[in-house]
Amino acid sequence: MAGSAPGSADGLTLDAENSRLAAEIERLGQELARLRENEKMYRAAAEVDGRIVWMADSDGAVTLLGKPFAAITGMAEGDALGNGWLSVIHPDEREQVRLRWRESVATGKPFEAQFRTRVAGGSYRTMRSRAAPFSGSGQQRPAWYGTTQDIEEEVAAERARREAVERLRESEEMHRVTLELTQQIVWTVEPDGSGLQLSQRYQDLTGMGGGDDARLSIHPDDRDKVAQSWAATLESGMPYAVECRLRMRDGSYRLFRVRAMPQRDGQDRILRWYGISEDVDDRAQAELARRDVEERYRLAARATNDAIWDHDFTLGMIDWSDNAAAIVGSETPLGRTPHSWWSDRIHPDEKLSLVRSLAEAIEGTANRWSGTYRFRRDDGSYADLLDRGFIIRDSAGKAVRAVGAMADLTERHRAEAEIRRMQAELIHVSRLSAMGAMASTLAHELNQPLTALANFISGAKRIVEKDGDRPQPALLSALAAAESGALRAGEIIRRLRELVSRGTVSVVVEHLPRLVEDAAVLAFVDEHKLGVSHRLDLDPAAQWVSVDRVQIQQVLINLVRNAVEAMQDSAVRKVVISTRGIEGGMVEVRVDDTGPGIGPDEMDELFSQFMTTKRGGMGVGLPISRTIIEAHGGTIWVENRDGGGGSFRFTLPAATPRDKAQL
Amino acid sequence: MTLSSPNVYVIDDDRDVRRSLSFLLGAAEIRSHPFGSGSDFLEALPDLEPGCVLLDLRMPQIDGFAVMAELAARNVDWPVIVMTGHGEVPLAVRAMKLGAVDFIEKPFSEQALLACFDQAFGLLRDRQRTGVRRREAHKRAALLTARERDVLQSLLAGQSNKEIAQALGISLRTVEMHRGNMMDRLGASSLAEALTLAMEAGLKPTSDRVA
Repeated sequence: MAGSAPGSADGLTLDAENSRLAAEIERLGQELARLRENEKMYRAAAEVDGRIVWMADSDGAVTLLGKPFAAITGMAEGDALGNGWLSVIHPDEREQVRLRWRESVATGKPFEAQFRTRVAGGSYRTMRSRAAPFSGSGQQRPAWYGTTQDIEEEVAAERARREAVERLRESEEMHRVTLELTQQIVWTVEPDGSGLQLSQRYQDLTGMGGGDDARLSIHPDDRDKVAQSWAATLESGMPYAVECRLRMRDGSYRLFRVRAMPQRDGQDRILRWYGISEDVDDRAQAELARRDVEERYRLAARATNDAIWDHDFTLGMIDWSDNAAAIVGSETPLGRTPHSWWSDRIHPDEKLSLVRSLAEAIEGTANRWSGTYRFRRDDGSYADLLDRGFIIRDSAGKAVRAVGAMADLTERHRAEAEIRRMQAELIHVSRLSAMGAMASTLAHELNQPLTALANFISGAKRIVEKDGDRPQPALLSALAAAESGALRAGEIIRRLRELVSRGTVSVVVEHLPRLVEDAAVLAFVDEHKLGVSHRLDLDPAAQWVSVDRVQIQQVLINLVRNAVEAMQDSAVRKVVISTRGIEGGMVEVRVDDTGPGIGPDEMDELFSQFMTTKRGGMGVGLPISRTIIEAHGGTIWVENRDGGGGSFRFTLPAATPRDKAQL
Repeated sequence: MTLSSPNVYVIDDDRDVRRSLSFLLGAAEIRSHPFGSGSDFLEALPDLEPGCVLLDLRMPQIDGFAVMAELAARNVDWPVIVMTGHGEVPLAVRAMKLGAVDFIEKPFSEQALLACFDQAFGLLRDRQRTGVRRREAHKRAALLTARERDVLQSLLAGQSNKEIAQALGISLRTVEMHRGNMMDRLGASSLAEALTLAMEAGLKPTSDRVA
């Protein structure tokens, strides 16, 4: 116990000094111990915390490393002292860490670095080191205390955070770009409908600013509809859909389809409404156009008698327009039928060649097909069809379907056949009748001189007979022979004429209006081509006549043809056929024209037998017309009408239906 | 050669036929007069003696039918024979309906023609006689007073004197007086004679005039 030793005053002083020093040493010792304890505690605490505590001298050489270092890195503490620890740092970062450490040591500024450290097992983990200078008493340059901490999780978490943030940012960016790129207007409102927010697209399209009332861009006629339906939707919370016109920047209106859905929370409460408004104007126009085309197609299909069909080759089915039913005489529309329904109804004589021609068209490259054939109706009869189709091919050229029209020509063919039959009959009878008329003409012309001849001979014979003084038997017998020769010539002509005309004239009671109408059909069959018009003015009192119908029609046709020819240079070209009953049990038929009429010199010549005629075809010439009319007991003549134009007239014996009954 | 036969008017546009007919008829002692057209004949008609007409139906301008129609219009009842070609029977029938007495087809034999004329001449004589009587009756009827004519027409209707007096509003005695005068003027000795004369004169019974 040095502090309690007695001594002189000096001794006392020294003793006092000694005891104070001893107390100081004691205190320092305790302090040191405390410090050491603190340091231990610190190091222990740091190590518990996962930090490596280290010390370095003023030159930067590590003098002490906490225990965890060896455990973490697998490097002995002894190897790590000095600059040995640098070898566990990732080669890419080692030099950088060394330089920074040198700099801190040189300047005394605190050190901080982050680097990857090779850990036991060879992998790298991110660590952070911090160090601060510590200046002890009496030392020129400070020593260093430092800690190194494993921050791998922290860095990974940060990286993940960053990446998440980045992804979020990218997502937001994409969303924004998407909104800007889309043609749709995207919008959102509060659950109560307030606070409307519209995407940029809205402004671009309508030219309206964000602060403007969006309702103003709706077409005035559509505003009520939109307001009412939207109010109902807010009420019900059901998905919203409406179509309305929006005014565009240029003042035009375009049709938009507006749809909206509510976003709900876990308790099914509406958080917001999200909506899109989509421009459907082009679509609507296209739809209208399509409907228009369809409507026109439907009307056209109805207007024409043609049946429209759509033949799907892949399905082997045919769709028929409604009027196709009429062709087969069906009450109900045909709708869709199999291909065989069609082919089975083709007339057996034509089926093979027709089906083959269609097959060839399909397998070839043609895009058109047509055929004429007989098609069986429900009642077993056949319709005459003209069928035409377009073949539709896919990109590979394979025929996929054909669309076409089927025209029923039965009625037309029947009418044409009837006209041909009437023409043929007329031409036939006309030839016979022309021969008969020629024979009649010949007979008349020969009969005149024969009559004169016979008369002269008869007279001469009489004179010779009377001269009783000088009988002339030779002369008388010569004259008798001449007389009988003349009469025999007349007889030969008569028989020839009867032979030619036999069976061709059959006078029966005919209905005059019908006779005239039929003749007019034939005579005016090409009236449009000829540029003339005609009218029938038939007297109801002149119903029945006793005639050979065909011959009288020939006369009428001849007169009409003459009239048409006469009107070639006339401004007005019109023919009127009229009938009327006249006195003496006769009927008069007139053919009036608007031509130049007949010159006075021509009048007598017109009907003369040897006037040449260039007429051919169905009509007969005027001389033959005259022969025919006179053979019926009528007369034929021509007059000029008061107003100009010719008027050919003939008469025929009238009859009564009673006469018809008697026949 | 005395031509005492009736006149025959030949109408044909063919000169040879005309001349041959005149020659033949001349040889048969029938007096004939040729005309080249219907209009020539109709023009001359007022100056012609009664006769028979031999008419061709086929002629330009005015044909046989027109000639016949004109004869009827002028109250000329001369017999008409029409000439036709072969097979023109309908024309002939029509001509007969219009009053032709016969038709003959060209060329014809002398016998056929002369047979037609035999008949036609007989008809012409009958019609001439009827015509003379009729003219006489017309002449006498023209002498009657209006009252005497009324009485005659009433008698034609079969009325008695009493009925006549009532219908005309005169006395029975006055009727008897008119009747006596009427008989005298007509030169009729009996009522039957008077009524025949009245009919020949073309008078009609009153019944259709008096209600």
